[in-house]
Amino acid sequence: MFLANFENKTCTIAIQKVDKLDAQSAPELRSYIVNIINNGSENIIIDLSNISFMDSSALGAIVSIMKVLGGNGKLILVGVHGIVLDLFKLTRMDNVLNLYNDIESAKKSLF
Amino acid sequence: MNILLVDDTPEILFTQSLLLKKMGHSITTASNGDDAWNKIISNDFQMVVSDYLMPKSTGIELFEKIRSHSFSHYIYLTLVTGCETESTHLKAMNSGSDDFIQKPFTCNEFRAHINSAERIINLQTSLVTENNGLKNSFTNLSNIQKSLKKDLKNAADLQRALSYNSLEDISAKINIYCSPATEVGGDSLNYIKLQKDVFFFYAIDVSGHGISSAMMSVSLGTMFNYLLKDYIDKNLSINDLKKIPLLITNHLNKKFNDDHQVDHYFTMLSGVVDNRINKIYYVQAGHPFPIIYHCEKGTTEIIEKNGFPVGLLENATYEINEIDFIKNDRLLVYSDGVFELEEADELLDQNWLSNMLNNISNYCFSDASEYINQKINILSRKKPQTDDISLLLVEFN
Repeated sequence: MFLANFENKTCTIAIQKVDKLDAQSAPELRSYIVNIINNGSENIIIDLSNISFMDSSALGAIVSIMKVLGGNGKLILVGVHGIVLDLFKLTRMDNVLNLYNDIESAKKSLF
Repeated sequence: MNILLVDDTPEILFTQSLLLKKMGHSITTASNGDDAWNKIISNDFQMVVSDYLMPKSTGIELFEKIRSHSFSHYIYLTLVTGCETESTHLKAMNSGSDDFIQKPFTCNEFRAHINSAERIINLQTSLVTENNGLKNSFTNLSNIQKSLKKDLKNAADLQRALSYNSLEDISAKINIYCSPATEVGGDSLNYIKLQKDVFFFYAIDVSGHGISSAMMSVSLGTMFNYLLKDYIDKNLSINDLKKIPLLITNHLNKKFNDDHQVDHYFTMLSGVVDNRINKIYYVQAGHPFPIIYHCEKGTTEIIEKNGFPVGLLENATYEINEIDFIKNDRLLVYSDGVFELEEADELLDQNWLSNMLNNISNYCFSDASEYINQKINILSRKKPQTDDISLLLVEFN
């Protein structure tokens, strides 16, 4: 379901085959990424362009990933759109999380 | 194996017995069908080897009798026959025979047939044992599920009983609709009279759903009662009253961020309604946008204020927002579970709710409430509900 691509200390994660992140898939994404962070990746880019729905558990999982990274690295979300973006705005997460349109500009912001 | 040999020729019985005993089996013999039947029903044979042609009754008749009787275990049946006709074979198979041994046969052939039977019987026994194990597990699980279901139902009844106090005498008309995705849910709505013409209300949606969300939602209800007790009947100034939602939201955000054992957070809209000055002071903590119906203008307005959820970020800050209302204006507050409902294959959104509120504006309050309750109820039955749904409709006096 998740595909990780490593480049130096940055890991880009694509989400495949699902178009929603909910109470079922969000904990899987969280533990998948926490594992990547524990293995030394400092910056995490999550590509959410396939995701058209996200519930409160998924938002909780994303914030929890941000907390795991702490001040040591950066969490960037790419391709946030539609009602997922509405959810981020409603909960002001667009002010807290780093959102970029595409992976290229996300990577540029890191180097 | 415990085997019964049936043959009317004593010499054959003797040689077959000797051979099988040497193979380590326990052997009983019978010289005809009646004798065999009496021994079968009073013993525990795993296998019967019978000659086809015998006086009085044939081996096939014996097998038919065995198959029509109900035994606690499967008996493997082998027919020994000298007839090579196809019809004998067919008859034997239809009578329930598992195997044939064609006369004349060698000792090795006989042994091979018995060994093959033993393999099948062992397999059958292990399947029966496994099947019984599964049946027992299934019964145990069913019992556990029944008791959990009963527990959940009791919990759901309790949650409903604890959830809100419809007897509060407040200066507004209120309708509450709550439908958890499972028996119990994480949505919670309530209103509490603070003093004459002033009441407090809140709508909460705990992240996730199910038992842990419900427990948190019920404990939040208790916390509200505790936190609000200092503000009830104190004749507070407007300036003090308007700060209550902010103080409570800040308090809860600190509490739930400090408590690292709690995985849940929640969205909340809480406010103070002051009928003396026709104002709502509220804090928006990531809850969906409330919708107000202005009766004088005859229009609805989606109030697009946003805010951080509670318990998600330690340094989240909140602010007091204001809404002005006049008598007979209506306010609709709802949880995002509504957005998972569909009408005519379209997901509901805030515009759908806003239109609905507008369309029922000429209904009296009880009819409008009934309309909303029934409409949402019908839509939520169309497909399995995946999130808790709650709505609060207020009509101001």
